[in-house]
Amino acid sequence: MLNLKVNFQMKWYEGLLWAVEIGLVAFGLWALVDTLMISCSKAAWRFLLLFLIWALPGAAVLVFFRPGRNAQDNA
Amino acid sequence: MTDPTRPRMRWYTLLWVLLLSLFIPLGILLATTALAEHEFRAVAVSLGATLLIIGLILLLLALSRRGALESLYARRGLKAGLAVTALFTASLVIPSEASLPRKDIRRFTTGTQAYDASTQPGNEIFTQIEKKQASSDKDVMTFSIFDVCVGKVSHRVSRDGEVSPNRVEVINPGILTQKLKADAKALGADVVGITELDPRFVFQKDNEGNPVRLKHRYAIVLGKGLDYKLSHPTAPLPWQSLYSSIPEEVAAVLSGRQVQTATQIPEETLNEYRETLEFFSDGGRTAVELASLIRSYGYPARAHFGRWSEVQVVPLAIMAGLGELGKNGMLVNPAFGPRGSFPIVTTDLPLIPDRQVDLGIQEFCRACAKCADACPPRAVPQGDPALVNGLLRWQVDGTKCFSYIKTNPKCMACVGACPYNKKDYFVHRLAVTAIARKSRVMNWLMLRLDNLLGYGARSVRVGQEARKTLVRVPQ
Ligand code: SF4
Ligand code: SF4
Repeated sequence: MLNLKVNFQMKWYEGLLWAVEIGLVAFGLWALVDTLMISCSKAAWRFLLLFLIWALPGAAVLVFFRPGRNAQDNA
Repeated sequence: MTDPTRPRMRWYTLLWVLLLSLFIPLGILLATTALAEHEFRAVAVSLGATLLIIGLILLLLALSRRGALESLYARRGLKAGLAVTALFTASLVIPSEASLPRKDIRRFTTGTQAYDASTQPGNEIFTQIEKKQASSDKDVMTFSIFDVCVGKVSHRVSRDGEVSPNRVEVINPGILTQKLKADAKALGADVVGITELDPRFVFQKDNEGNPVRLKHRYAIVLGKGLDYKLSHPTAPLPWQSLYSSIPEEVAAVLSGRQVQTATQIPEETLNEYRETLEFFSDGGRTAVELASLIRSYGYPARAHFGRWSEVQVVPLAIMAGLGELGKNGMLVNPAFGPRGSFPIVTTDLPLIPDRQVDLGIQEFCRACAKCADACPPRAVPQGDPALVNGLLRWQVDGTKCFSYIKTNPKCMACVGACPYNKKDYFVHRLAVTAIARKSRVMNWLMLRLDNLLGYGARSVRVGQEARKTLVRVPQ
């Protein structure tokens, strides 16, 4: 029997950052598809790249920084 | 710490994972390319295949972690699969298709010096000319049926002109050739090739029956690709029942002579006609402007295009390295396939000629017959090429083609169906390069892939539907 147990916890500002990151990637994918639909292949890939670059600093924060114990207690 | 009880991944499993991973970027690239071409079946197939490959990789990894690939059968199966894949890959790149002999235009063709352009099939409809006297006595404006359709004056009047008395001294023809090619592209050409003007390809008479006097040394061949979205048959609906009357109505509406038509012609159909006709008209403009530029350097130059050509376009374009002659009688260019228009400028300006190229296109045509299957009046031959004018080639029945085009000016079934008819994207360039290997297996694979992805399917379908109509409607 499949037994799924998902358990995660995050601060509200972490959630916000996740939302921003997901939004940026989604925008990038949308720009890719939309620009491909007007047959501008090069521009499409550059749009995706642009959004991915914008998403990079946030991704770095998510990967390398965690809220410290103090922040966890205070927030 | 690694778990000592967990089986280690074997080298051949790892190789399989790496091999399959190579197809993921390829699948994504193909899907995005197909999306840019609005080929939605190809998008679905390539995305589906990519997901399948990702699934396979995950399955392999999961099985390997569980030790399910440790049995003798599994190990032998994986190794044998690798060996078969290696053999298959080798067969894709090892040339196994015999090169078509007698491809070299210079060596084998017997030429068409005695060719009288006024006898070309279709001349009677394409040069129904209306001449109008313009303000200047010399300036006789000439309209062809196409020009009437798009409301444009033919560029014919400017094909040749006065040469500047101040001749530019050419010190380095190589640099001049590069500059001229760049100029031609700036004027609208997509590809440019240069060849010596072989007198065997100069007509004896032009399409009005006047003797041709042309002694230029070089021919600059300018290639322009029609927009991909237009390169399929446009059938003015409901063409099944009103076959022969609709094209005239389209022409009348495009020329502005008629606003209301007896049959409602869809706006999309009108636009497709307009854009296609403008494209062919525009090729003439590029040639006329380039010829005028060369004359300003003090060298004679004359533009040739469409029915206003005094030279045979296809052999000169082949000699200039712009492609090969396909089964459909069109010049197939690696960048835009058979949907090209090739205006030419002949001149005495010293230039460096290009060389004929061998891209394995004719060898691919041996394996493929999509154009012949799609052609409504069966003007494109099936089977192997025959010896024509000293060259091995397929001879399209021009009379059959033009008698059909009279009723449907934008047929293009043989263009739309062709696997080379793609947008000039990286993934298609890869395919063209692969086909140039002249491997039978590669040609077979590419053709199957083209059919699976649904490229050209619309043209084949419309062409075959039109063929049924031809049987019903007496010609
Ligand atoms: S009739 Fe149409 S499909 Fe056949 S050769 Fe002519 S243009 Fe091509
Ligand atoms: S459709 Fe096939 S046979 Fe015809 S010209 Fe194109 S590649 Fe050659």
